[in-house]
Amino acid sequence: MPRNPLLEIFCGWMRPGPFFAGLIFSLLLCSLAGRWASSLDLYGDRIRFMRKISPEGYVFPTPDHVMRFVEGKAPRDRILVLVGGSSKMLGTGQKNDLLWTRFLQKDLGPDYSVVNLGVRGGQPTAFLLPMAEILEKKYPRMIVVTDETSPDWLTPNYSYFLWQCRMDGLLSRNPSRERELLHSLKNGPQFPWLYGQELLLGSLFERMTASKNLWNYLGYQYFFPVYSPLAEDVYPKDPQFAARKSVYDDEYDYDIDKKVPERFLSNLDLHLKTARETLVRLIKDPGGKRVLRDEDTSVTRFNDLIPEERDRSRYLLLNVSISPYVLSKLSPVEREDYGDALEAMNQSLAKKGFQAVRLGMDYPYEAYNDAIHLSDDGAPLMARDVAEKIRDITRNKGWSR
Amino acid sequence: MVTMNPLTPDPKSPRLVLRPVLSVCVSLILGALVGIILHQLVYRFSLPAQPFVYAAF
Repeated sequence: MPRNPLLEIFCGWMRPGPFFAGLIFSLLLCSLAGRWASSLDLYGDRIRFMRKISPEGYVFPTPDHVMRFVEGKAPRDRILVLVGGSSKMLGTGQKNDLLWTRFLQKDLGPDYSVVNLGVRGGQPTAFLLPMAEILEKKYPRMIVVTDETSPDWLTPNYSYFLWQCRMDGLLSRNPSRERELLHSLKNGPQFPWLYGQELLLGSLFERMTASKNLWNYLGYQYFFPVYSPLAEDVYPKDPQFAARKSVYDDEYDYDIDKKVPERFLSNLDLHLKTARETLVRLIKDPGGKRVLRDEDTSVTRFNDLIPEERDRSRYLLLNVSISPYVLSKLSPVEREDYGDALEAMNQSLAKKGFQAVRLGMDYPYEAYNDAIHLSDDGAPLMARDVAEKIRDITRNKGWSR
Repeated sequence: MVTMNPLTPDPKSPRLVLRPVLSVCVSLILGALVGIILHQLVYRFSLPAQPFVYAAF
């Protein structure tokens, strides 16, 4: 066998003992650094989790960092208003300075701290509900605001967060959640987007090595450590490995300069279909009154997700209407039924102990950027309606006058 | 008179005295670098495999 002189020199210099000692030492040091990084309010300079600091940008904020994000913005002596859920709550399409949660903070005043945990393509279960459960003891005066959807515990792209909270022992026992987590482990191939086993292993490794905490820190402050094949096509404006701290908030950076009604015309038929599907949720009760079907998925899902023993009256669910322009394309009867359906949803949720409010139907066309997302013009309107409801809740609870 | 073979290093030369120490240091540093890379790999492979692009508009 021919000898490789370079290899011989290398082997002559290498000592297995010191090599493995160095390896173990640096692994331990990295894990300790990760524990230290977990105590930092890494995203403290941000007001929301825009896509470059979310799973869409290959950043997976850890429960520690999300907790620090909330704590950094909300002193304990204030009433915490924790907002979260989908891109409607995140304020996709709204400029940073004109974000609806900024207006909400302004409307509510200094006794409140509004924190936005909305995520793109997410559900209330993404960051919001686990965080609300964890923070309940730290913030006894807390209102949770989210949009009315039909949420599952395990949502595509954000399940890692729930697994991490679960494996870190941060959550209380919830049998329906445990069942769903176990189910995802056993039925991986049927739910390819969940990858239950992958997420379980990932959260175990994270618990041992704190690797996400450390590399998220380095990626935010100094250089981004993950190559993303999507970066050049989908996010062409920033260099591949640029520190995410230097990346601007691009949640408003879309082609949203279209005037009314052009901005509503793409997928108009699809949105009309969605609006009509809402009407199917209504039935007539024996008294002739229009009510929501008993088996309505969104009401049953919220009923499962937030057990009765929790204080449901602090959960405010927003029934944000589809854009008034899309509604104008429905017949007058359908339009009226749509409003009734949203109202019936509110009543069904109220029967289960939740707070709910309908909004958006009477807003001007300009208040929406597209069929579902509110614009800079709509942000103060939404904030005004939500602030009014929040003040009602806090007054009823005796938290404010 | 003893003459030394120029190809045989002088056992008292500092190069040979330092070699074991240097060898330990090089091994330690290399091990530490591999440890850092391993930690990064744990992070990289613990990220969910499926990319996610959400079209909001």
